[in-house]
Amino acid sequence: MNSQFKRGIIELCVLSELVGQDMYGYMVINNISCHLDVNENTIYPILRRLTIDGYFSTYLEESNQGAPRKYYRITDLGFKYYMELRNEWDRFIGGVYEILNQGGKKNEEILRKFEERIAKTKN
Amino acid sequence: MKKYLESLKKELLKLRISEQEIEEILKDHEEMISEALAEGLSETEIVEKFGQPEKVAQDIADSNQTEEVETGNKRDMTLWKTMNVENGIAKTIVNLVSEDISYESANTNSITIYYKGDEDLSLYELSFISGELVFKRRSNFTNNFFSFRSRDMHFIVVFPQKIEIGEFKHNSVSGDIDIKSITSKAIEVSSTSGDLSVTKIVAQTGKMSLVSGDLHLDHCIIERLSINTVSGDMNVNNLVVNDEFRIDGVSGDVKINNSITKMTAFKTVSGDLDGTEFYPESIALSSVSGDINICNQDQSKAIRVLKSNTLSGTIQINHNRQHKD
Repeated sequence: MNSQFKRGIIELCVLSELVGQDMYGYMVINNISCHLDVNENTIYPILRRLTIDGYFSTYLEESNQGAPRKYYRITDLGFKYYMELRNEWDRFIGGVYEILNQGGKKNEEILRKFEERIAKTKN
Repeated sequence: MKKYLESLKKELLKLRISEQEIEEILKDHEEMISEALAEGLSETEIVEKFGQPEKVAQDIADSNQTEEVETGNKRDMTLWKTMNVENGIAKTIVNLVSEDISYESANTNSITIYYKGDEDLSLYELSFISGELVFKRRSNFTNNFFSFRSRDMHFIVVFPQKIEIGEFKHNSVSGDIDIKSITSKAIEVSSTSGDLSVTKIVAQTGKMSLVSGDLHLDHCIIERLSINTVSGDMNVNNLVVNDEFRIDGVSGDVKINNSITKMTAFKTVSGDLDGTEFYPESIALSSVSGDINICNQDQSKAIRVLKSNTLSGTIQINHNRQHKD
Protein backbone atom coordinates (compact mmCIF):
# COMPACT_ATOMS: atom_id res chain seq x y z
CA MET A 1 0.00 0.00 0.00
CA ASN A 2 1.14 3.52 -0.68
CA SER A 3 3.03 4.51 2.44
CA GLN A 4 1.67 8.06 2.54
CA PHE A 5 -1.86 6.71 2.37
CA LYS A 6 -1.16 4.18 5.07
CA ARG A 7 0.37 6.83 7.25
CA GLY A 8 -2.78 8.89 6.99
CA ILE A 9 -4.90 5.94 8.08
CA ILE A 10 -2.70 5.18 11.06
CA GLU A 11 -2.76 8.85 12.00
CA LEU A 12 -6.54 8.70 12.05
CA CYS A 13 -6.43 5.52 14.17
CA VAL A 14 -4.01 7.04 16.68
CA LEU A 15 -6.19 10.13 17.02
CA SER A 16 -9.27 7.99 17.31
CA GLU A 17 -7.78 5.94 20.14
CA LEU A 18 -6.97 9.07 22.08
CA VAL A 19 -10.29 10.80 21.55
CA GLY A 20 -11.90 8.52 24.12
CA GLN A 21 -9.25 8.49 26.81
CA ASP A 22 -5.67 9.43 27.64
CA MET A 23 -3.24 6.60 26.98
CA TYR A 24 0.43 5.79 27.32
CA GLY A 25 2.48 4.93 24.27
CA TYR A 26 2.56 1.18 24.61
CA MET A 27 -1.19 1.06 25.11
CA VAL A 28 -1.82 3.00 21.90
CA ILE A 29 0.50 0.69 20.01
CA ASN A 30 -1.11 -2.45 21.41
CA ASN A 31 -4.66 -1.26 20.82
CA ILE A 32 -3.98 -0.49 17.20
CA SER A 33 -1.82 -3.45 16.34
CA CYS A 34 -4.41 -5.91 17.63
CA HIS A 35 -6.85 -4.61 14.99
CA LEU A 36 -4.53 -3.77 12.15
CA ASP A 37 -1.63 -5.63 10.72
CA VAL A 38 0.87 -2.78 10.99
CA ASN A 39 4.37 -2.76 12.32
CA GLU A 40 4.53 -1.19 15.73
CA ASN A 41 7.45 0.87 14.59
CA THR A 42 5.17 2.86 12.31
CA ILE A 43 2.94 3.95 15.16
CA TYR A 44 5.47 5.58 17.44
CA PRO A 45 6.82 8.09 14.88
CA ILE A 46 3.26 9.15 14.14
CA LEU A 47 2.41 9.53 17.80
CA ARG A 48 5.52 11.61 18.24
CA ARG A 49 4.91 13.72 15.16
CA LEU A 50 1.33 14.48 16.20
CA THR A 51 2.61 15.52 19.64
CA ILE A 52 5.19 17.89 18.11
CA ASP A 53 2.46 19.36 15.92
CA GLY A 54 0.42 20.16 19.02
CA TYR A 55 -2.32 17.59 18.56
CA PHE A 56 -1.43 15.84 21.80
CA SER A 57 -0.05 17.03 25.07
CA THR A 58 1.79 14.70 27.41
CA TYR A 59 2.09 14.23 31.16
CA LEU A 60 3.71 11.67 33.43
CA GLU A 61 1.79 9.44 35.77
CA GLU A 62 3.05 6.90 38.26
CA SER A 63 2.30 3.31 37.43
CA ASN A 64 2.49 0.08 39.35
CA GLN A 65 5.04 -1.05 36.76
CA GLY A 66 7.69 1.04 38.46
CA ALA A 67 8.75 3.87 36.19
CA PRO A 68 6.14 6.57 35.51
CA ARG A 69 4.32 6.39 32.21
CA LYS A 70 4.07 9.15 29.66
CA TYR A 71 0.41 9.71 28.88
CA TYR A 72 -0.84 11.36 25.73
CA ARG A 73 -3.90 13.59 25.80
CA ILE A 74 -5.64 14.97 22.73
CA THR A 75 -5.76 18.78 22.52
CA ASP A 76 -8.56 20.93 21.08
CA LEU A 77 -6.44 21.32 17.97
CA GLY A 78 -6.01 17.56 17.85
CA PHE A 79 -9.73 17.02 18.11
CA LYS A 80 -10.38 19.46 15.30
CA TYR A 81 -7.81 17.71 13.16
CA TYR A 82 -9.36 14.34 14.01
CA MET A 83 -12.79 15.52 12.87
CA GLU A 84 -11.35 16.81 9.61
CA LEU A 85 -9.50 13.59 8.91
CA ARG A 86 -12.48 11.54 9.90
CA ASN A 87 -14.84 13.39 7.55
CA GLU A 88 -12.36 13.06 4.75
CA TRP A 89 -11.98 9.37 5.45
CA ASP A 90 -15.76 8.76 5.64
CA ARG A 91 -16.28 10.46 2.33
CA PHE A 92 -13.45 8.57 0.72
CA ILE A 93 -14.32 5.16 2.03
CA GLY A 94 -18.02 5.77 1.27
CA GLY A 95 -17.13 6.41 -2.33
CA VAL A 96 -14.93 3.33 -2.47
CA TYR A 97 -17.77 1.15 -1.16
CA GLU A 98 -20.23 2.62 -3.61
CA ILE A 99 -17.91 1.53 -6.39
CA LEU A 100 -17.24 -1.90 -4.92
CA ASN A 101 -20.89 -2.59 -4.15
CA GLN A 102 -22.01 -2.04 -7.70
CA GLY A 103 -21.33 -5.72 -8.24
CA GLY A 104 -23.28 -6.84 -5.19
CA LYS A 105 -22.77 -6.68 -1.47
CA LYS A 106 -21.85 -10.23 -0.60
CA ASN A 107 -19.07 -12.37 -1.96
CA GLU A 108 -21.49 -15.09 -3.04
CA GLU A 109 -23.58 -12.58 -4.92
CA ILE A 110 -20.51 -11.18 -6.68
CA LEU A 111 -19.32 -14.66 -7.59
CA ARG A 112 -22.75 -15.70 -8.89
CA LYS A 113 -23.04 -12.59 -11.05
CA PHE A 114 -19.52 -13.09 -12.37
CA GLU A 115 -20.20 -16.73 -13.24
CA GLU A 116 -23.39 -15.75 -15.02
CA ARG A 117 -21.50 -13.24 -17.09
CA ILE A 118 -18.78 -15.72 -17.99
CA ALA A 119 -21.41 -18.28 -18.95
CA LYS A 120 -23.11 -15.70 -21.18
CA THR A 121 -19.94 -14.80 -23.05
CA LYS A 122 -19.17 -18.49 -23.61
CA ASN A 123 -22.49 -19.01 -25.34
CA MET B 1 17.04 -3.71 26.03
CA LYS B 2 20.22 -1.75 26.62
CA LYS B 3 21.69 -3.03 23.40
CA TYR B 4 18.55 -2.16 21.49
CA LEU B 5 18.49 1.37 22.86
CA GLU B 6 22.17 1.84 22.15
CA SER B 7 21.87 0.83 18.53
CA LEU B 8 18.75 2.99 18.18
CA LYS B 9 20.75 5.93 19.50
CA LYS B 10 23.52 5.23 17.01
CA GLU B 11 21.08 5.13 14.11
CA LEU B 12 19.37 8.33 15.22
CA LEU B 13 22.72 10.10 15.44
CA LYS B 14 23.52 8.98 11.92
CA LEU B 15 20.34 10.64 10.72
CA ARG B 16 21.26 13.93 12.37
CA ILE B 17 18.41 13.96 14.83
CA SER B 18 19.15 16.46 17.57
CA GLU B 19 20.46 15.21 20.91
CA GLN B 20 17.50 16.56 22.80
CA GLU B 21 15.12 14.67 20.58
CA ILE B 22 17.18 11.51 20.76
CA GLU B 23 17.04 11.63 24.53
CA GLU B 24 13.27 11.89 24.42
CA ILE B 25 12.89 9.13 21.83
CA LEU B 26 15.10 6.80 23.86
CA LYS B 27 13.15 7.50 27.01
CA ASP B 28 9.89 6.74 25.22
CA HIS B 29 11.32 3.50 23.90
CA GLU B 30 12.70 2.53 27.26
CA GLU B 31 9.23 2.96 28.69
CA MET B 32 7.51 1.03 25.92
CA ILE B 33 10.04 -1.79 25.98
CA SER B 34 9.74 -2.19 29.74
CA GLU B 35 6.00 -2.55 29.28
CA ALA B 36 6.58 -5.20 26.66
CA LEU B 37 9.08 -6.99 28.91
CA ALA B 38 6.58 -6.87 31.76
CA GLU B 39 4.10 -8.55 29.45
CA GLY B 40 6.60 -11.35 29.08
CA LEU B 41 8.01 -10.64 25.64
CA SER B 42 11.52 -11.88 25.00
CA GLU B 43 14.33 -9.70 23.67
CA THR B 44 13.94 -11.14 20.17
CA GLU B 45 10.19 -10.62 20.27
CA ILE B 46 10.83 -7.04 21.23
CA VAL B 47 13.01 -6.43 18.20
CA GLU B 48 10.25 -8.01 16.14
CA LYS B 49 7.60 -5.87 17.75
CA PHE B 50 9.37 -2.53 17.65
CA GLY B 51 11.35 -3.14 14.49
CA GLN B 52 15.05 -3.04 13.70
CA PRO B 53 16.62 0.11 15.20
CA GLU B 54 17.71 1.15 11.76
CA LYS B 55 14.14 1.05 10.48
CA VAL B 56 12.75 2.76 13.59
CA ALA B 57 15.24 5.61 13.26
CA GLN B 58 14.46 6.04 9.58
CA ASP B 59 10.71 6.15 10.26
CA ILE B 60 11.24 8.79 12.91
CA ALA B 61 13.43 10.84 10.59
CA ASP B 62 10.81 10.52 7.83
CA SER B 63 8.08 11.75 10.11
CA ASN B 64 10.24 14.80 10.85
CA GLN B 65 9.99 15.80 7.21
CA THR B 66 7.54 18.67 7.36
CA GLU B 67 9.41 20.30 10.19
CA GLU B 68 12.65 19.93 8.34
CA VAL B 69 11.47 21.75 5.26
CA GLU B 70 10.24 24.66 7.32
CA THR B 71 13.31 25.17 9.39
CA GLY B 72 15.66 24.33 6.59
CA ASN B 73 18.03 22.32 8.72
CA LYS B 74 19.64 19.15 7.61
CA ARG B 75 18.73 16.68 10.23
CA ASP B 76 16.74 14.30 8.14
CA MET B 77 18.67 14.89 4.97
CA THR B 78 21.08 12.28 3.82
CA LEU B 79 24.66 13.23 3.15
CA TRP B 80 25.44 12.69 -0.50
CA LYS B 81 28.88 14.07 -1.23
CA THR B 82 31.60 16.17 0.33
CA MET B 83 34.15 17.81 -1.92
CA ASN B 84 37.24 19.54 -0.64
CA VAL B 85 37.77 23.13 -1.69
CA GLU B 86 41.45 23.96 -1.95
CA ASN B 87 41.77 26.92 -4.28
CA GLY B 88 38.43 28.63 -4.13
CA ILE B 89 35.31 28.21 -6.21
CA ALA B 90 35.56 29.81 -9.61
CA LYS B 91 32.22 28.65 -10.88
CA THR B 92 29.06 26.99 -9.72
CA ILE B 93 26.73 25.75 -12.42
CA VAL B 94 23.51 24.05 -11.42
CA ASN B 95 20.77 22.88 -13.76
CA LEU B 96 17.77 21.18 -12.27
CA VAL B 97 14.14 20.56 -13.15
CA SER B 98 11.60 20.15 -10.37
CA GLU B 99 13.94 19.68 -7.44
CA ASP B 100 13.85 22.07 -4.52
CA ILE B 101 17.26 23.34 -3.57
CA SER B 102 18.76 25.35 -0.74
CA TYR B 103 22.18 26.94 -0.85
CA GLU B 104 23.84 27.95 2.35
CA SER B 105 27.27 28.32 3.87
CA ALA B 106 28.96 26.93 6.93
CA ASN B 107 32.30 27.02 8.64
CA THR B 108 33.92 24.23 6.62
CA ASN B 109 36.51 23.80 3.90
CA SER B 110 34.35 21.76 1.64
CA ILE B 111 31.23 21.77 -0.47
CA THR B 112 28.73 19.37 1.01
CA ILE B 113 25.56 18.17 -0.63
CA TYR B 114 22.64 16.63 1.20
CA TYR B 115 19.51 15.20 -0.31
CA LYS B 116 16.09 14.00 0.63
CA GLY B 117 13.70 12.10 -1.59
CA ASP B 118 13.78 8.87 -3.44
CA GLU B 119 14.79 9.96 -6.90
CA ASP B 120 17.61 7.92 -8.37
CA LEU B 121 20.83 9.84 -7.72
CA SER B 122 22.41 8.46 -10.88
CA LEU B 123 20.10 10.87 -12.73
CA TYR B 124 22.37 13.66 -11.56
CA GLU B 125 25.79 14.69 -12.64
CA LEU B 126 27.88 16.13 -9.87
CA SER B 127 31.50 17.15 -10.02
CA PHE B 128 33.94 19.65 -8.59
CA ILE B 129 36.98 19.89 -10.82
CA SER B 130 39.54 22.70 -10.82
CA GLY B 131 37.34 25.08 -8.93
CA GLU B 132 34.21 24.40 -10.96
CA LEU B 133 31.17 22.89 -9.36
CA VAL B 134 28.78 21.29 -11.83
CA PHE B 135 25.50 19.85 -10.65
CA LYS B 136 23.02 18.88 -13.33
CA ARG B 137 20.10 16.67 -13.89
CA ARG B 138 21.06 14.52 -16.86
CA SER B 139 18.90 15.26 -19.85
CA ASN B 140 16.76 12.29 -20.38
CA PHE B 141 13.89 12.40 -22.79
CA THR B 142 11.35 10.50 -20.75
CA ASN B 143 12.21 12.43 -17.65
CA ASN B 144 11.83 15.79 -19.26
CA PHE B 145 8.79 14.81 -21.17
CA PHE B 146 6.96 13.27 -18.27
CA SER B 147 8.27 15.69 -15.78
CA PHE B 148 5.18 15.22 -13.63
CA ARG B 149 6.54 11.82 -12.85
CA SER B 150 9.65 13.06 -11.21
CA ARG B 151 9.59 12.53 -7.49
CA ASP B 152 9.92 15.05 -4.74
CA MET B 153 13.54 15.79 -4.28
CA HIS B 154 15.23 18.35 -2.09
CA PHE B 155 18.91 19.20 -2.10
CA ILE B 156 20.98 21.32 0.24
CA VAL B 157 24.32 22.59 -0.99
CA VAL B 158 26.61 23.94 1.70
CA PHE B 159 29.54 26.12 0.67
CA PRO B 160 32.47 27.13 2.84
CA GLN B 161 31.90 30.45 4.58
CA LYS B 162 33.95 33.48 3.59
CA ILE B 163 34.69 32.14 0.14
CA GLU B 164 33.71 34.27 -2.79
CA ILE B 165 32.23 32.19 -5.55
CA GLY B 166 33.35 33.56 -8.91
CA GLU B 167 30.31 32.83 -10.98
CA PHE B 168 27.13 31.40 -9.54
CA LYS B 169 24.58 30.12 -12.03
CA HIS B 170 21.41 28.32 -11.20
CA ASN B 171 18.72 27.23 -13.58
CA SER B 172 15.65 25.17 -12.88
CA VAL B 173 12.06 24.77 -14.00
CA SER B 174 9.65 24.28 -11.18
CA GLY B 175 11.64 23.64 -8.03
CA ASP B 176 11.85 26.22 -5.27
CA ILE B 177 15.20 27.88 -4.72
CA ASP B 178 16.51 29.18 -1.45
CA ILE B 179 19.85 31.00 -1.44
CA LYS B 180 21.34 32.07 1.87
CA SER B 181 24.62 33.62 2.97
CA ILE B 182 26.52 33.41 -0.29
CA THR B 183 29.15 35.81 -1.59
CA SER B 184 29.69 35.86 -5.32
CA LYS B 185 31.03 38.06 -8.08
CA ALA B 186 28.15 37.31 -10.37
CA ILE B 187 25.00 35.57 -9.36
CA GLU B 188 22.50 34.46 -11.96
CA VAL B 189 19.34 32.53 -11.17
CA SER B 190 16.53 31.53 -13.44
CA SER B 191 13.41 29.49 -12.91
CA THR B 192 10.04 29.17 -14.59
CA SER B 193 7.54 28.44 -11.90
CA GLY B 194 9.60 27.89 -8.79
CA ASP B 195 9.73 30.46 -6.01
CA LEU B 196 13.04 32.12 -5.29
CA SER B 197 14.17 33.29 -1.90
CA VAL B 198 17.47 35.14 -1.58
CA THR B 199 18.82 36.15 1.82
CA LYS B 200 22.10 37.62 3.02
CA ILE B 201 23.78 37.69 -0.34
CA VAL B 202 26.71 39.88 -1.25
CA ALA B 203 27.36 40.12 -4.98
CA GLN B 204 28.72 42.45 -7.60
CA THR B 205 26.11 41.64 -10.17
CA GLY B 206 22.82 39.88 -9.75
CA LYS B 207 20.47 38.66 -12.43
CA MET B 208 17.26 36.89 -11.60
CA SER B 209 14.75 35.65 -14.11
CA LEU B 210 11.45 34.18 -13.11
CA VAL B 211 8.20 33.64 -14.94
CA SER B 212 5.46 32.85 -12.50
CA GLY B 213 7.37 32.17 -9.32
CA ASP B 214 7.51 34.69 -6.50
CA LEU B 215 10.72 36.35 -5.38
CA HIS B 216 11.79 37.23 -1.87
CA LEU B 217 14.93 39.26 -1.35
CA ASP B 218 16.14 40.06 2.11
CA HIS B 219 19.35 41.55 3.49
CA CYS B 220 21.26 41.62 0.23
CA ILE B 221 24.02 43.89 -0.95
CA ILE B 222 24.32 43.78 -4.70
CA GLU B 223 26.22 46.26 -6.83
CA ARG B 224 24.02 45.96 -9.90
CA LEU B 225 20.81 44.01 -9.87
CA SER B 226 18.35 43.16 -12.59
CA ILE B 227 15.20 41.17 -12.13
CA ASN B 228 12.95 39.76 -14.83
CA THR B 229 9.58 38.34 -14.10
CA VAL B 230 6.23 37.89 -15.80
CA SER B 231 3.51 37.27 -13.29
CA GLY B 232 5.33 36.52 -10.08
CA ASP B 233 5.21 38.96 -7.18
CA MET B 234 8.28 40.42 -5.53
CA ASN B 235 8.96 41.21 -1.96
CA VAL B 236 12.16 43.10 -1.22
CA ASN B 237 13.46 43.98 2.22
CA ASN B 238 16.73 45.52 3.36
CA LEU B 239 18.34 45.70 -0.02
CA VAL B 240 21.32 47.83 -0.91
CA VAL B 241 22.07 48.34 -4.57
CA ASN B 242 25.00 50.68 -5.13
CA ASP B 243 24.38 51.03 -8.80
CA GLU B 244 21.45 50.29 -11.04
CA PHE B 245 18.42 48.28 -9.98
CA ARG B 246 16.23 47.14 -12.85
CA ILE B 247 12.92 45.38 -12.57
CA ASP B 248 11.24 44.11 -15.70
CA GLY B 249 7.82 42.67 -15.13
CA VAL B 250 4.46 42.24 -16.74
CA SER B 251 1.76 41.82 -14.16
CA GLY B 252 3.54 41.02 -10.93
CA ASP B 253 3.47 43.51 -8.05
CA VAL B 254 6.61 44.68 -6.28
CA LYS B 255 6.93 45.61 -2.62
CA ILE B 256 10.13 47.23 -1.39
CA ASN B 257 10.93 48.02 2.22
CA ASN B 258 13.97 49.55 3.90
CA SER B 259 16.09 49.67 0.82
CA ILE B 260 18.58 51.98 -0.81
CA THR B 261 19.48 52.05 -4.48
CA LYS B 262 21.09 54.42 -6.91
CA MET B 263 18.79 54.30 -9.91
CA THR B 264 15.73 52.13 -9.90
CA ALA B 265 14.09 51.41 -13.21
CA PHE B 266 10.70 49.75 -13.12
CA LYS B 267 9.24 48.43 -16.33
CA THR B 268 5.88 46.70 -16.28
CA VAL B 269 2.50 46.41 -17.98
CA SER B 270 0.10 46.33 -15.09
CA GLY B 271 2.13 45.59 -11.99
CA ASP B 272 2.56 48.17 -9.22
CA LEU B 273 5.61 49.06 -7.17
CA ASP B 274 4.92 49.95 -3.57
CA GLY B 275 7.82 51.23 -1.51
CA THR B 276 8.08 52.15 2.16
CA GLU B 277 11.35 53.43 3.51
CA PHE B 278 12.62 52.94 -0.01
CA TYR B 279 15.26 55.48 -1.00
CA PRO B 280 16.40 55.31 -4.58
CA GLU B 281 18.42 58.30 -5.75
CA SER B 282 16.35 58.35 -8.87
CA ILE B 283 13.53 56.41 -10.36
CA ALA B 284 12.21 55.61 -13.82
CA LEU B 285 8.86 54.14 -14.67
CA SER B 286 7.81 52.58 -17.91
CA SER B 287 4.38 51.01 -17.84
CA VAL B 288 0.91 50.77 -19.34
CA SER B 289 -1.11 50.97 -16.17
CA GLY B 290 1.41 50.13 -13.46
CA ASP B 291 2.10 52.71 -10.73
CA ILE B 292 4.94 53.58 -8.42
CA ASN B 293 4.01 54.59 -4.95
CA ILE B 294 6.68 55.44 -2.40
CA CYS B 295 6.04 56.38 1.16
CA ASN B 296 9.03 57.37 3.31
CA GLN B 297 9.57 58.78 6.80
CA ASP B 298 12.59 60.83 5.86
CA GLN B 299 11.26 63.25 3.32
CA SER B 300 14.45 65.27 3.11
CA LYS B 301 15.94 62.66 0.83
CA ALA B 302 14.70 63.62 -2.57
CA ILE B 303 13.93 61.04 -5.20
CA ARG B 304 14.52 62.26 -8.69
CA VAL B 305 12.09 61.09 -11.35
CA LEU B 306 14.17 60.39 -14.42
CA LYS B 307 11.67 59.06 -16.84
CA SER B 308 7.99 58.37 -16.71
CA ASN B 309 6.79 56.64 -19.78
CA THR B 310 3.33 55.43 -18.97
CA LEU B 311 -0.18 55.38 -20.36
CA SER B 312 -2.23 55.55 -17.20
CA GLY B 313 0.26 54.78 -14.48
CA THR B 314 1.34 57.37 -11.92
CA ILE B 315 4.34 58.01 -9.73
CA GLN B 316 3.51 59.14 -6.26
CA ILE B 317 6.22 59.91 -3.77
CA ASN B 318 5.30 60.51 -0.15
CA HIS B 319 1.80 61.21 -1.28
CA ASN B 320 0.01 59.09 1.24
CA ARG B 321 1.88 60.42 4.21
CA GLN B 322 0.02 63.65 4.37
CA HIS B 323 -3.20 61.72 4.60
CA LYS B 324 -1.89 59.52 7.34
CA ASP B 325 -0.65 62.34 9.57
